[in-house]
Amino acid sequence: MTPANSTIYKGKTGQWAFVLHRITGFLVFMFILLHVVDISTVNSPSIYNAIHRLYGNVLLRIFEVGLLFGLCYHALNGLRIIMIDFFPDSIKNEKRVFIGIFSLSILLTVVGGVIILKPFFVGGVH
Amino acid sequence: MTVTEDKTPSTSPAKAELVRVHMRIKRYDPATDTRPRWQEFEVEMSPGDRVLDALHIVKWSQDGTLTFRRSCAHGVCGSDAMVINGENRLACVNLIRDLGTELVIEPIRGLSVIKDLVVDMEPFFAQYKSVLPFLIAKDDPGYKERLQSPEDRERYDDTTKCILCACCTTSCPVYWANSEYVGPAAIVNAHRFIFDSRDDAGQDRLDILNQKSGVWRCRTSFNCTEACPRGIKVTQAIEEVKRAILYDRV
Repeated sequence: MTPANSTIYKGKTGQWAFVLHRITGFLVFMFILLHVVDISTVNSPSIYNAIHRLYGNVLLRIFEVGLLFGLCYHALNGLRIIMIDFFPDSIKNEKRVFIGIFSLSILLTVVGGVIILKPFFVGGVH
Repeated sequence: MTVTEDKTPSTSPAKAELVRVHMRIKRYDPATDTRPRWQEFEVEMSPGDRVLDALHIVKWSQDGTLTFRRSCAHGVCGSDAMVINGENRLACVNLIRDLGTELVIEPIRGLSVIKDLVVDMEPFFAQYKSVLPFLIAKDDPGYKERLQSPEDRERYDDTTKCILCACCTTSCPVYWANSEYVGPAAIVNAHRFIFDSRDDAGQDRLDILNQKSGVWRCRTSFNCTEACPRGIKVTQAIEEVKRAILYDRV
């Protein structure tokens, strides 16, 4: 096997926490742009309703579950970074805090995902 | 307690078993290559040998054109920082035994490659110099020493250990993307004087690090702390400098 020309730097949890924070931050920002566009159609009820019917589509509901993870992770990791910045002694625990906030994000996503996708299983969608 | 009579040594301690080490080295010769290429080498090493020894064997007996830096070869001069198996390390303090027999060696990132594993360290040293890394004291004690209490000395002890190998700066994702960032190593060396009770220019250094390319570029990815071969808590030092700027106190 010929190795690829570039390899990935093997950083520890901190590097991946940083990368995921960037990615989720970008996705949340893109969602906010989308949200501004869909809310701006509120004065044309027919367009507004058509867009929101589209959001009820199973693929976009799954996208919403991903968005929920992005929001939870970005918010909780933001708190972790604030902790590192303002509480000098807490830096020792940053890895454990990362594992904690990552697990909590997944838990919240699973709980929220069940609520978001429930209509598709109990037949609540038309 | 029983005493065994058998005193004869089972084997002579003479020769440790040799292992075959497979090395993949990223090479680049500006005279012949348009882009970097990988080259593979096989060497016989003792598990207690260092990665630097394996590089020496390659250079001295297989390919004399292989280029890398090393000076003291004992983890003090900081010349042989390289990416070994995906992480920044010093080749002279890592043993084959600890890293295994499959080695992938690349130059450190974020600085331009001159040849093979040698990178241009000038931008790194320019950033180091930009933080005034020397004692600036207004008073002249004459022929006396500048005394300091053990507690005051302890305040910046961790950051005195830096050997300027660039393992931290070139492991930083922010530095890879933005070479204007002054980098962890420069901040560590600023920290060493900012928190020195004998120094009077702490505020000047904080002003330098409060600029756009200063400490605020740090995104706490902790790659620097993980990479430091001297075990300096680099991220913690950067955070202390951030707080010193924020709370306006040294």
